[in-house]
Amino acid sequence: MTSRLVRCAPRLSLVTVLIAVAVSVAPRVAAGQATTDETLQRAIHLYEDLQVERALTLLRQVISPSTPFVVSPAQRVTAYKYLGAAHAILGERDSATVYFRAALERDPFVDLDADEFTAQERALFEQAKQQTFAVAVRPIARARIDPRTESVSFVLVSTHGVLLSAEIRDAAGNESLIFESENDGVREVSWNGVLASGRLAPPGRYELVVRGVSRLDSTRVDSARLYFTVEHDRPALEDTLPPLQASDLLPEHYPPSAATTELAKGLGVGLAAIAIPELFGKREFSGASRGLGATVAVGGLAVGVLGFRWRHEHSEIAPNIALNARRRAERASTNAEIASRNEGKMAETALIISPAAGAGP
Amino acid sequence: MTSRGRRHLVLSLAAAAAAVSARPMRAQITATPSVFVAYVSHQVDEGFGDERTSGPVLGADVRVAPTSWTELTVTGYAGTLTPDSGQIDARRMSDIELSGSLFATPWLAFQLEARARSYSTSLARQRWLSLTVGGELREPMFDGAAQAVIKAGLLPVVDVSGLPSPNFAGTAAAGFELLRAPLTGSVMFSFERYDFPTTSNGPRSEQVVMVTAQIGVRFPR
Repeated sequence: MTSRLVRCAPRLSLVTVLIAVAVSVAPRVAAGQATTDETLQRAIHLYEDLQVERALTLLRQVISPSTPFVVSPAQRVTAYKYLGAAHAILGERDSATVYFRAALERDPFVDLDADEFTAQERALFEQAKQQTFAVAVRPIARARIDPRTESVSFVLVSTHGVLLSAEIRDAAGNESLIFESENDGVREVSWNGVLASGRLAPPGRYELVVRGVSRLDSTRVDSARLYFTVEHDRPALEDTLPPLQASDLLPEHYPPSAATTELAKGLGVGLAAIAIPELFGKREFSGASRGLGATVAVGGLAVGVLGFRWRHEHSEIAPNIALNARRRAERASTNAEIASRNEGKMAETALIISPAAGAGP
Repeated sequence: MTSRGRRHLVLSLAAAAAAVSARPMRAQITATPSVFVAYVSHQVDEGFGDERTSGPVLGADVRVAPTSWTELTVTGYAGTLTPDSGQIDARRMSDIELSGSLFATPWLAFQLEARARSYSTSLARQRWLSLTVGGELREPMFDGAAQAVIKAGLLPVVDVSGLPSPNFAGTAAAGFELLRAPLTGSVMFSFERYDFPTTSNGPRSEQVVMVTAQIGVRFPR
């Protein structure tokens, strides 16, 4: 017992240390984010109170590499935006543009609200957008769409005038262009789940590739990617019935022995016509009985030979052929009904589009 | 039986008859009237050699099939048989038969036949009454357009006027029936053999051989 406790002791102490570290670090990270947020809010409040210099001090703390606090990308973009705006108020146009560009390069969707920012600030922001070139696509939320009536929206943006294209690429690399046009700013592009092939996108992983070619400088090209998955949501499909097997069908042709059987039947009658007078008549009477019997025997032979030839030439079993054809038609009809019902279910297919992480397909 | 009991019996029978007649017909009744011509050879050996008469007979029959597994047939024919030699008289042969068939399978039937036959000459008339029990094989050919037929039977009851009952009496036949609706036809070879007990005159045996060609129409067509 004691030895087990001794063996467990190092493991317990390691766990204890890890827990202690986690407990001590977690509040600091949370506190760091909270502090950055508080600093940003105070800076924005000072900016709104036109205490621009004090606001700049706080904003610089946020973006400083030496800041002890955790700064999220969104907080950094906000800091750059207000830094640009503060410098614009101070008349420092170049600095304002630099900070606006820094914000745009990190988030092309960033914008200045006309209710919150002055015309001068927005003018400089526009100037920064002209100097910056970036395209982006906004992440999507999980959505369920009925392709017949609904579509999923991708929000694209370009910082200035571009020839913008957006295409859906599947796992096999097949591309379906869903948008191509001049664009400046934010653009909402709808996609109803149909690929260039005209078919509904099968379930799988897809990539939305957005490309932009600047209208100001055609050598400047930028692209953005968004990964998502497509799932089908529809009632379960029915399986069609398998084709009829030989065991399900009646034989459509007589076996080769059938011709011999026909011959045997004719010969049987002929033999009977010869044998009957011999067996019953005991050979006591001559003449007509045997002669008539022989005549009928020859007739029987002839009928047998005819039957043999006829069966060779007519080996089809017509009733079975008709019955099999009816069975096949019934099977085809059933399968057509199933296919029709399945088509109806397919038409009801809804797409569930979810954001996906990781590398592209 | 009292009058009340008799009335009760009559009412019960009437109810039973009504119930039977009210049952749905399971199969269509068919009737096939036919005419035929046959060549008949009648041979008799009374110990003095073969006496043979032969000739054509004309006849008709009606075959009724109340169900797919039963048949009733009424047949009648008559004709004059002329002797092959001048030592015997010509005779008129008349025959009427009533037979019933019960099919155990589509190709095997059991038959019961009652027959009355007469041979008449200018001097006398011989009457034959007989009962045949036998079987019949039918095998379709040409996809049912024809069938091969073989029959055989024994005559356990034979009553011949002026003669004792035969020790052995048998019949057999073979041929083809044609079924081209609504027409029917047949070509049959049939054979009858009678061996009578030996009397003071010696042994007596008779045989009748017929080749029949028949044509009929089946109703409903």
